[in-house]
Parts: sequence; C-alpha cells; structure tokens
Amino acid sequence: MTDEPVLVVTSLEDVTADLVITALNRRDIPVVRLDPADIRDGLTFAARIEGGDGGWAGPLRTGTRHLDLDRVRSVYHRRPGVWRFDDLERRIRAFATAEARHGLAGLLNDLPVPHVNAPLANARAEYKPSQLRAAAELGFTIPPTLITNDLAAARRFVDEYGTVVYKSFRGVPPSDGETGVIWTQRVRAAELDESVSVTAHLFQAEVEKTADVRVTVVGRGVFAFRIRTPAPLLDWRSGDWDRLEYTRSSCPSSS
Amino acid sequence: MRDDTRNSQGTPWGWTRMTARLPEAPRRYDRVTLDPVTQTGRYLDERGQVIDMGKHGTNRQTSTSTKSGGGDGNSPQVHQAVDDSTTDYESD
Repeated sequence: MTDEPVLVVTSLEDVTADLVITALNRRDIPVVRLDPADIRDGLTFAARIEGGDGGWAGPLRTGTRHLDLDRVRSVYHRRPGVWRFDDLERRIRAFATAEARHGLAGLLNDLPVPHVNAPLANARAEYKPSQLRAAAELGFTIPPTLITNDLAAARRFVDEYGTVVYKSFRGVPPSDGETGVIWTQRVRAAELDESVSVTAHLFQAEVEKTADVRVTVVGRGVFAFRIRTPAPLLDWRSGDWDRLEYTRSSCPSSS
Repeated sequence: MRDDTRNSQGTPWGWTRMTARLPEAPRRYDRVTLDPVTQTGRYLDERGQVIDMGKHGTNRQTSTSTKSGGGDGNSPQVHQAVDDSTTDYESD
C-alpha cells in the first residue's frame, strides 16, 4: 500500500530527523513521528496479537497522528527521547523504564518491516571488540589492539609498539550543564598508572595516515567521504569542524 | 593489600584522559513544537518567531558543547555519541 506511513522514532528536538522527514514530505510519503518517551504524555497504544501470521495490530496515537500498527511501511530510528520517569522513586522508575523499553520500544522494534537501523542490530554492532574481530575476519588490516585492566600488560604493549593510542569505548556520559570528551590520543608508558585496573581500557598501535574516511552504508549503497584536517590531527573530531575538508571517496569493492 | 594500589577515588585511568569539562552550548531557541502537518519540529525564539536550525542536523539530547573560547553557539559542537547510538534505550 503506497499510503502506509514511514514511522519515525525520534525525539521532538532532532534536526536530523526533521531533514529526513522533509525529504519524505517532498516525495509525498506519509510520516508518523513518535517519541516512545511520550508514553505517559500523549502517546497511547493498544497492540494485540491473536496467533496465526497476522502479527501485532491495533492503534497507536501520538499527539498529532493515528497509526495502525499493521500498516507501517518502514521504521526510521533516530535517537528517541530519554524516558521521562524522573519524578518516580528509583526502583519504580527502573520498573517503568524497563516495562516501556520492552513493551513499547520492543514492540516497535518487532514490526516486520525494514528498520533503519534495527536498534538491536545497532546495539550489537557498537561493541568495539566485535567490530575489530569482524573487520579482521573480513580481511581488513587492523592495528594491533589491547583491551586490558592490567597495568603491566598496558606498559608492555606501549613498549612493544612505541606509538600507541588510547580510545574510550563509549565516551563521556552527558550531564546537566556541562560535557566533556575523550579524544583518541597518544599514550606514553610513563602516563599509565594503577588506575588502569579500575575498568577496561583499549590501546591500539597508532596508524600513520594521510586522511580519515567515513563510510555510510544504506542497503547496498556505500557512501564514502574522505576527511582532511588543515594540520595533521590524530583525531579529526578534535579540530575546528568548519575547517575540515570533505571529499567524495570510494571504497575498494570486495571480490 | 589490594586497596593500597587503588587511587583515592577509584577513578578509571581513561576518565583522566577527558578534555576539560566544557559548558554545553547555549540553546538558540526558546521552545519547540511539533508541526502537525509536516511532522517536523518548529523552533521558536522568545517572541514566537520561527528559527531556521540549519542544514547540518543535531540532537538536543546529545551532549553538545561550545569548544574552549567559543560561547556564541556557532562554534563547532563537540559531541561524542555515535549517530545511531543506542544509549537512549539504555538504562539510566
């Protein structure tokens, strides 16, 4: 059915989702935008499954749209809002959050249509240990990498490879009013101390480079952009973003 | 003793690699409403005028910041979240 809408799962304040929705509007493709975090604030749903191959069906209403859950064209997931249960006592909040995550987000994730990107697949793919192993298995050259909480092992690794970088796995959690970042950065053996033992740390032999390439894959489409910084920079994200040069690039095709 | 080898707060080494904590970029808008027809956000200033949020895209809930010395909201934004990060679905 051509009038089946694209479901856009995002928060209200997401300019990137706006750009995608505007492009869908231009193509006359119906859109329903919803934020699962509105579950106690204007979003209602009643999904039923009856057996057979019908799957989940029933109405979902946002503040501005009505959706039949068995008539969704596809789902675009773009940073849904943070659950708003802050006023609840800690354990009750944990309960409400987990129930909403499984019962609403889990329902949307299960709709049998194309998902960009399927959140659970994304979650699996975000783990650096899996990424490195997958890249190696596919024949990519990967830098020697150490994940450890052992100071002696970290020092040996730095001694062995000379120029070594540290990368955090997930970055700095946001907080109210301020933020911080952990850029990819060089590590000297003398900078390491016993606090390496507190949690997992990733060290990697530095790769000499002339540029970075960011690759986006949509279906079978591969879009590669070469990113150059005015002066050599280990982590291109740490420079002046207005002075980055992006040029269309290509990826070697697989055999 | 095991405890003797720990630093006082038990702060992981990686945490000390953070850049100086930076103030978050000031919001350029007063409020956002959802346009029921287009399903896009409408960003309004204090006088209710619509603000063009540009063509580059961002998300309020990503940790964004002015870089040091910035502060006018037009400075490069710092954000470390991966675009498709699932953190929004993670437990708090």
